[in-house]
Amino acid sequence: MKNDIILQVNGLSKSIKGIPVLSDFNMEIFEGDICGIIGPNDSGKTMLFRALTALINPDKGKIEIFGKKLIPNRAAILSKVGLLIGDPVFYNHLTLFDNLQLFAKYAGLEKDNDEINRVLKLTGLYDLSDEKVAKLASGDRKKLAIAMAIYNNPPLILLDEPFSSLDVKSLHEMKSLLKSINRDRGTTIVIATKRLVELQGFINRIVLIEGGRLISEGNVDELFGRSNVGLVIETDNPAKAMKLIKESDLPIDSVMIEDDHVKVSCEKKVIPFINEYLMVSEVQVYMLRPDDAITSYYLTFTE
Amino acid sequence: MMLQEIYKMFTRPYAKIVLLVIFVLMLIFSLAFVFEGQEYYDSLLSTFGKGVSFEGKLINGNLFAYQLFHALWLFVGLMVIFVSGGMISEEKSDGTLRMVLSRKVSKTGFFTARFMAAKLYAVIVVLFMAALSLGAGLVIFGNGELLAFDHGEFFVLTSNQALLSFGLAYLFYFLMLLTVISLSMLFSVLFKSSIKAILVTVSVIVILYFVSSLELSLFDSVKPFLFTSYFTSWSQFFTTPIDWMKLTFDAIVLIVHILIFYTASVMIFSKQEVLD
Amino acid sequence: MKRNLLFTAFLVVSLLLSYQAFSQTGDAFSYIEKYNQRLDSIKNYQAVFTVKSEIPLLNIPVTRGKMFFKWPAHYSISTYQFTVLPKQKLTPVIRFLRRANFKSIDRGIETVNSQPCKVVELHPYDTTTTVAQYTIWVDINTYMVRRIFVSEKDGSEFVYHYSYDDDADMLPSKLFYTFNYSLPHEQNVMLNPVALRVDVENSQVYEGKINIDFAYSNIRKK
Repeated sequence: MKNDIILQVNGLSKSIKGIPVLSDFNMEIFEGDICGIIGPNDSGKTMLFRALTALINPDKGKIEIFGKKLIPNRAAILSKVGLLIGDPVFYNHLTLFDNLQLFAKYAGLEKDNDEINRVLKLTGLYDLSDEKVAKLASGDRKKLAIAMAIYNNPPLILLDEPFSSLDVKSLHEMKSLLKSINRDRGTTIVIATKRLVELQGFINRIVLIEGGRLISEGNVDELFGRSNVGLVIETDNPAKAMKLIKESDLPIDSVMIEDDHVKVSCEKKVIPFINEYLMVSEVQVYMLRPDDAITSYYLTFTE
Repeated sequence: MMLQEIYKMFTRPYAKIVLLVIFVLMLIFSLAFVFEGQEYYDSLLSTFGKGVSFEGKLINGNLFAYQLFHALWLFVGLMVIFVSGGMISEEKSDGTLRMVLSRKVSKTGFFTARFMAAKLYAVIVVLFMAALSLGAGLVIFGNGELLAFDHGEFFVLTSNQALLSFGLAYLFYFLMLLTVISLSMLFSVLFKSSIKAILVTVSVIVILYFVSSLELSLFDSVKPFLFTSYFTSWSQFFTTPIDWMKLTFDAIVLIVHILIFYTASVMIFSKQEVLD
Repeated sequence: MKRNLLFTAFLVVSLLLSYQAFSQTGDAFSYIEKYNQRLDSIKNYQAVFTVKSEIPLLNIPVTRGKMFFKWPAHYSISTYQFTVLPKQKLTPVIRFLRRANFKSIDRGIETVNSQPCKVVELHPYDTTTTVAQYTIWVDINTYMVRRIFVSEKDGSEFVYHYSYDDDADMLPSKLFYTFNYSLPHEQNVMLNPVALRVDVENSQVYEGKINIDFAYSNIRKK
């Protein structure tokens, strides 16, 4: 059963100096989703986020958040949204603690020192709370931005490139943090990124964007879980392997050679039979591994 | 929200630097006043020829404050632009405007809060000037009658009259500062760079004030429409009798300018998109 | 202090000379000497005075002050506020005018405040002095000085008009003083260039007026 729609974008268009940055963009995000908005540089992700926070005025289209139109209800809506848009910016001459206090006020929230300390602890910045932001490393700035976004447990969090400049450990920590917030509180999280790898196994919904247009959107389970998986086979003779698989009676959807590897689309249960068939056909199988499904999916649409 | 803006403003170094510069200017002036003041005033009073002598204590705290006011008003007015000129443009160039406006805050609310913070800064500057010039002057040089001058005419005010005149003059000067601040905030809205906003404001004020000060009939028809023509009206509170009609009119002209600059700023700012 | 010392010197010298002069002549200058002689009858006095001025380009409120005299030469003025006063003393002190230093001319008799006065014109022999001439109106009946006109070589002119309520006391109840001046062509604008922007005509000669009312007490005669 689908949850309620928490964020809906219909026919959103915006041009800046005559250049379209968003064209008839549509998107639906459901309550409790962790949604990845994926697109290359200048694909319109940040512009979409600006539109979602009323920083720009769309030429056309409608945005509804929490079931209310954004424009007349901007203040009420944004007070319940955790945000990170573009490079995280702060008042560099103030401390981490003071910045959080200030932005809590801007968000229309009461100053709550315990809450500030809680989010600083969650993001691992508690020990730096009295440091001036100017002294922070770029990874810590990202963490501080995430701390601001999760302040006071908003029901919706919009994060634009939250994981760039995080080291591996921090990336893992922040993803775990967001995952737990999503799991424990049902918080809807929307993450825009150009790096797919950051979202592998993390998102349940995907929106592909390029050139300001929606390429595809859907539930990750629906798109990849129930359909066939991609299988990459490294062999000593890819051509022979492909010929054998193609001519076999095995229930496969497609087979092709890419980068000297055989790529097969089939159901999971077929994989052991493919392996066995190639072995008995005297094809040396060095490795069987799953294909990067989201990447493949993305490339399918963009190439 | 105003409290946040005040806090932000005072945690920035510029606000404190400007107050420090005003303090240094005051110290420099004090030296000139102490060492050359008497000679200067004797020379001024010699205007009235050999037929009269002046009795009483001329060098006093009121005169010190009055002279300091005359010496510093324009510099202080220009210095304040360093703070107000960056009020919006600095937030734009730093990107903090994006962070602030993507929250609950409305553009009008944010601009108004910043404007109010700048207004409070003007109040603080005026109080700072009053405390350092009038307060310190009275403590160091004592109380007494004030010898004031306006357009070649001299006015002796009793110490009570002087106190009232200072109060009214500081109030009017506050209006003048607010006009300067509201103009600089308009440019701060128009430009992304605070340096550009500050430079344009200073340039506009210097040019218009220059035109206002020129004793040329060519500009006589233009002067009433220049807000800079009313910048020195505060000095007329030290004349007797005070021309209330004229000063009320001058104050209204400045208030109208403040409202025009404020409204224009809010209208432009609320239509601006945050693309930085 | 310096003023008092000078005054004392003038007083002592002029006292000696005036007695000598009066005893020798009965000419115009003798009216001045007679006045000085009468004035010397006062041992001491004090007075409170009120100053009202009408001076173009100088707006000054009504102020008050105190005057104190003790024979022979202690004379002091103090004001409660900053104020403007005639350059010379507030009472007609003309003891310093020595017969030997002036050529006196008798200009006949004129009426001042309905009183017939001898008009004595004095021209200093000393060519270095700034004074061009004094003209003094001395009441022919009471020897009260009713008017003094001082003209200086640079064109400055000062006139002291004295009124008396009680001639017997020799002390004026009112002084009406007029003087002239013109603005210097250059003004010192060191400290406030804006305020000193001059909107007045520099070449114009202005006339200033000062009215002083005296209220005496403790008048003692020898």
